Amino acid sequence: MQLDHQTLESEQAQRVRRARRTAAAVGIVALVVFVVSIVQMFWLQHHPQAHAQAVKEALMQ
Amino acid sequence: MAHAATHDEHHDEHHEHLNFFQRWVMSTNHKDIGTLYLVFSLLMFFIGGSFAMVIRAELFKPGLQLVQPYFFNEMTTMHALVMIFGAVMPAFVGLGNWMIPLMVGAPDMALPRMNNLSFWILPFAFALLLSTLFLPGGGPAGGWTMYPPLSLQSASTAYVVFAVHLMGISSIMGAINIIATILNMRAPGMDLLKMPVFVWSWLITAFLLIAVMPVLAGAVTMLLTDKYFNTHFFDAAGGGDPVLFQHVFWFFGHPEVYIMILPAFGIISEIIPTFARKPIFGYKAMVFAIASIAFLSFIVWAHHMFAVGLPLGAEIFFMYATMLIAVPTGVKVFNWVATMWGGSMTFETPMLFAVAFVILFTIGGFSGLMLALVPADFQYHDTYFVVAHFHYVLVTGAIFAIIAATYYWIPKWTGHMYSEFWGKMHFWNSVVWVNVLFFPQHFLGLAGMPRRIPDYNVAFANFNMISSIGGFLFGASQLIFVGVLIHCVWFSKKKATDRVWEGAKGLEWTVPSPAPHHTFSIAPVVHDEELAHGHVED
Ligand code: HEM
Ligand SMILES: [Cu+2]
Repeated sequence: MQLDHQTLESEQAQRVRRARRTAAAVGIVALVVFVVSIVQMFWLQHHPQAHAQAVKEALMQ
Repeated sequence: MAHAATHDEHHDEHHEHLNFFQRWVMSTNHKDIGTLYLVFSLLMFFIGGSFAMVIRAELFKPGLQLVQPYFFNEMTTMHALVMIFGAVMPAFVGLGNWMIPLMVGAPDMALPRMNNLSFWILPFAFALLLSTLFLPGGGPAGGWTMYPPLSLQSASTAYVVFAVHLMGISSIMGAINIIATILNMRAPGMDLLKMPVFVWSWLITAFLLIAVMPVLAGAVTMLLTDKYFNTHFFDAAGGGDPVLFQHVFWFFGHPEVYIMILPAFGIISEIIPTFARKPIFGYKAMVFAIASIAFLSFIVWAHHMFAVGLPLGAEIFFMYATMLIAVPTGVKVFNWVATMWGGSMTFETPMLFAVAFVILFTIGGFSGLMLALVPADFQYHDTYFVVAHFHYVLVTGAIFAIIAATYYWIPKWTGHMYSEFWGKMHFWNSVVWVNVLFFPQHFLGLAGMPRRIPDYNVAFANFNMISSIGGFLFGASQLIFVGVLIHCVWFSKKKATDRVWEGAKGLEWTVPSPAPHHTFSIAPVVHDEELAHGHVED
């Protein structure tokens, strides 16, 4: 017979286990934000026309 | 980790035997780590404060008197970095560490070992940052905003970038821990909409941290690669654009200023109900206002860049978006006033600082609104008016809230009452001198005195002298604070009761004073009428 370990877990232990899962998820979000912030600058560098257009618009006034 | 969180009684018997190293360096206890953060923050407050004294001494009179211009620039840069990342943020994390588990009925933070790591990274980060002042070539001097190309001209770029990375990692881990604790570790019955406003404010702040600290890390990483690895992100000669850095920086920077004020809002929302002996007015509106401010803080960043030349549509968008923030901010101010209205108020030191916060922070909010007007900002930008604005929101805002929180909770931490007389001395001196220090800076800015300069036109002499005198006396007043703290921790004979303040409500006041090393090993029963904000209808 398979034991259901989760029902044997104390409530406090259950909370801690869930908390670690939340923490991992949030940590991954942070990592993704870091990578995206650099990648978008790379993208701009490799699309000089998009960048030039934005600069032109900014200086049009 | 499950072990640490569930076997408290076992630990309690043993913690008496921990030696100094085990208790403080190896600590996984939220209260001890909270204390470490707070002590570290106080130390940084005085180091950052000493830099401010150098700045005000040099500006006491026009002309160059005391320091070399480069050193002056190092002081303005370091003052900001140390105060923001070393004093204000760690103070809030320390308060969160101490109080969040007590307020939601959790035995500890969700990830106690990561908690230890988040703290112990900080002394290394700041040792690294401060060491640059002693390097040949000197420390960073291009302002805390680190705009290239100026910031890349200093010899210390790599040190500063690494220090910022460390602080960022520490903050991100702290934020992860706070989110995991609040979302998962609450006692049964402590629903999200029953949490104290301070806990709510920290939950929202933690999400802001997760969203923007990695962006700062990205920005400084690109500075580093531009300087040492031949990239040209921000280098016009190589096809890059220095203005892009400003966009990335302020995408972090504006939410960052709210990271430094939202927990303060939470603190004030705890203190005012206690001393007005009334539940907070409009609990849900308060929570919703914090969330709206947090959301809006992501779409206003370019109000720091009105003068760089943005498309007209962008100037107008960012102007209106910025002015929108005044709406939820106004809701908060009105609700604090409404909480006091008709209350039976007493004015112990925490309440004095909280009331001063409401008034003086609002002055900072108004000058912010003036700065949000594009044509006006063309005039005010990079003048002392901006300096006056952000010191009203940060010193009489964030710092006053941190001081208020310390007076409010220190009886719970130490089991002793502080000296009310000296607390009030600290308050009155602070509140008078801080205004002498910063109010004249509005006039200087309106008259055109630029920020970040060691010398100025003689026309600005009088207000600068007044400001410097206010600065020295405000600095000296903070020594009273240290005296009060030392007295309270080691010498005070007056025992604190468990509830401490007559009007105090919430779980943190149900544990003994001083709070035992381990609390809520068994989840407490939450009685709705015992919560600080009273009964909240669904
Ligand atoms: C009513 C809300 C607010 C508005 C409308 C507002 C608006 C502004 C604007 C437009 C600027 C740019 C001025 C310039 O450089 O020309 C500015 C600067 C600044 N604000 Fe605010 N602000 C508000 C609240 C706050 C709060 C709550 C904080 C922090 C607790 C804060 C901290 C700062 C800082 C640090 C700067 C200067 C950054 C720098 O250039 O070094 N502000 N604010
Ligand atoms: Cu801003």
